[in-house]
Amino acid sequence: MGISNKIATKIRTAAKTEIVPLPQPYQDAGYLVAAAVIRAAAATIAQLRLTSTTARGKDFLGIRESNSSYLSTVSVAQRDQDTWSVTLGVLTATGNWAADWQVKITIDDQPNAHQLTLTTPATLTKDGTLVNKSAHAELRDLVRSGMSTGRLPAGTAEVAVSKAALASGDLEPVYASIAAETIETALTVTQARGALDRVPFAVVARQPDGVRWQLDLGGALSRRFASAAITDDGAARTIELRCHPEPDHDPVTSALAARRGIALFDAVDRAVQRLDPGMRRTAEPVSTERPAEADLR
Amino acid sequence: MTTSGFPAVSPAWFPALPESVLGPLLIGVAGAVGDPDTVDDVWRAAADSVPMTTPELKVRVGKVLQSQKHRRRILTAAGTSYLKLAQLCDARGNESGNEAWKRGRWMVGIKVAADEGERVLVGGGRTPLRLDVVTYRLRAGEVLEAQQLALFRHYVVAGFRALDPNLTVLGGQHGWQDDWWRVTAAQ
Repeated sequence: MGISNKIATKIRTAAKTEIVPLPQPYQDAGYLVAAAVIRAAAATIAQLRLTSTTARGKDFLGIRESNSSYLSTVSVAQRDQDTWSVTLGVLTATGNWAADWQVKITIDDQPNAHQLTLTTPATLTKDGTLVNKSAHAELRDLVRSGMSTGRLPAGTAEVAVSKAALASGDLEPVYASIAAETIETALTVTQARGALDRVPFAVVARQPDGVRWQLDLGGALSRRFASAAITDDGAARTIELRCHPEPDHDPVTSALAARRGIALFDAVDRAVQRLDPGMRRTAEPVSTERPAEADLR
Repeated sequence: MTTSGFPAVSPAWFPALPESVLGPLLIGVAGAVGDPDTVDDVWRAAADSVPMTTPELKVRVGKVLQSQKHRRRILTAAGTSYLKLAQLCDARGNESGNEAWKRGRWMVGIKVAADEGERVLVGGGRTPLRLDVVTYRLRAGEVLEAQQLALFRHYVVAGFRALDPNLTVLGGQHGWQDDWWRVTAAQ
C-alpha cells in the first residue's frame, strides 16, 4: 500500500513541460495572461478552505503543536516575471513554511514558443500519499489548461477572494498624528511654491503664499484638509504646514486622516529637500491620542 | 496572427477586473509625471498614508512560543524588474526596515511598461506605468491583508491623479470605500 502510494505521488509530482500560446511580447502581454491564470488558479484553491498542520521536521515543537491543524494558506510569489512559486501550507512560529506542497511555474520565453514547466520542489507525504493532493492536482490542471488557451481567464475566483476579504475587515489601525510642522528653507517663494506643486496630493486652493490640499478625493477623507503657508522673512522662507486632527466617531477615519496628514508632511519635506538639501524641519511631536469624544460637540 | 505565429498584441490582454485587489493596474500619465523621481514621490506618499497595525504573532524564543506585538506597515525599496517595490512587513521590537523586509505579507511593484500595446491602451502619448501584485497570500477564500493593499493601490492612483488630473487608469481595484476598513470591537 505504502509503495503504491509513493509511486502515485512520484507520478503526481513529476515535472511537466509543454508549449503554451501566450501572447507576445512576453514581458508585457504574455506575462499579463500568465499572471492572471496563476491568480485564478491560486484563488480557486484558496476557496477550498483546506487545512494543514505544522507537524514535521525541525518545526516539531511538541505534542500540542504537532496536533494543531490550521486553515491552509496559499502563498504566491513571483520571481523575475517568468517564475512563480505557489505554496500550500501554514506559516510556523519560526517564520518558516510548513508546506504541504510547493509548485514552481516557469515560463521559458523562447524565440518562437513559450514553454511552460511545472515542478513540485517541496512535498509532504503521509503514508506515501501527498498531503492535500487533490488541490495540488487541481492547481496544476488549472494552470496548464488556463495557459493552453493563451487568453485571460474570466477572473471570477480572483474577484471573489478580493470581495470576501474587503467585506470581512476588522482591523484596528494605530492612531498617529502631527498637527503642525515648520520648514525653514533658502528657496525663493517661487521655488518653494514649485516644490509644493510636486506634492502628490489633490490641491483644492492655490494662493500666492500657500496651498490647501484635500486628503482624499472621495469618502470621509474628502472632508479633511491640510494647508501650507509660505512666509518670507528676508533671510529665509518659512513653510508652515497644518493638518488639524479632528474628532471623529469612527476610529478608522481618524487614524486614516491622521496618517494621511503625516504622509503629506513627509512628501512636502522630500519635495523641498530635493531643491534645498540644507532645509530645516521642526515638527510637533507625534500624538497617539485620538481627539476626545467630548470635543465632538 | 503575427508572422512568428503568436497572437497579435491586443487590449484584450489587459485584465479589467476593477473589483480585484490582486489584478494589475495600468496608469497612463503625462510626460514628467512618469519620471523616476515623481514615481518615487507618489509611491512613498502612498506607503506612508496607510496606517500601521500591531498584530500579535507567535515568536519562538528558545524552545518557547511567545506572543509578540509586531508593527505591520508598508516599506518601500528600489527593485530590479520593477522601478519601485512596496511590501507590507511585520517588524519586531526595534528591528530596522532591512530586517523586517524578510517578513513580508504582500508585495507590489511598479514599472514603466515598455510594450507598444500598453502605450496604445493608455493613449494620448502618456507614459504607461504598470503596477503588479507580485507576492500575495490567500486563506479561507480571502486575500490576506487586503485592506492595506486596497488602500495602498488607491493612494498610488490618487497621487498620480493629483499631479495629472487627466490620467487614465485600467485594470484592477483602485477605488476606496470607507466600509472596507472598520473596527467592530469595543474601543
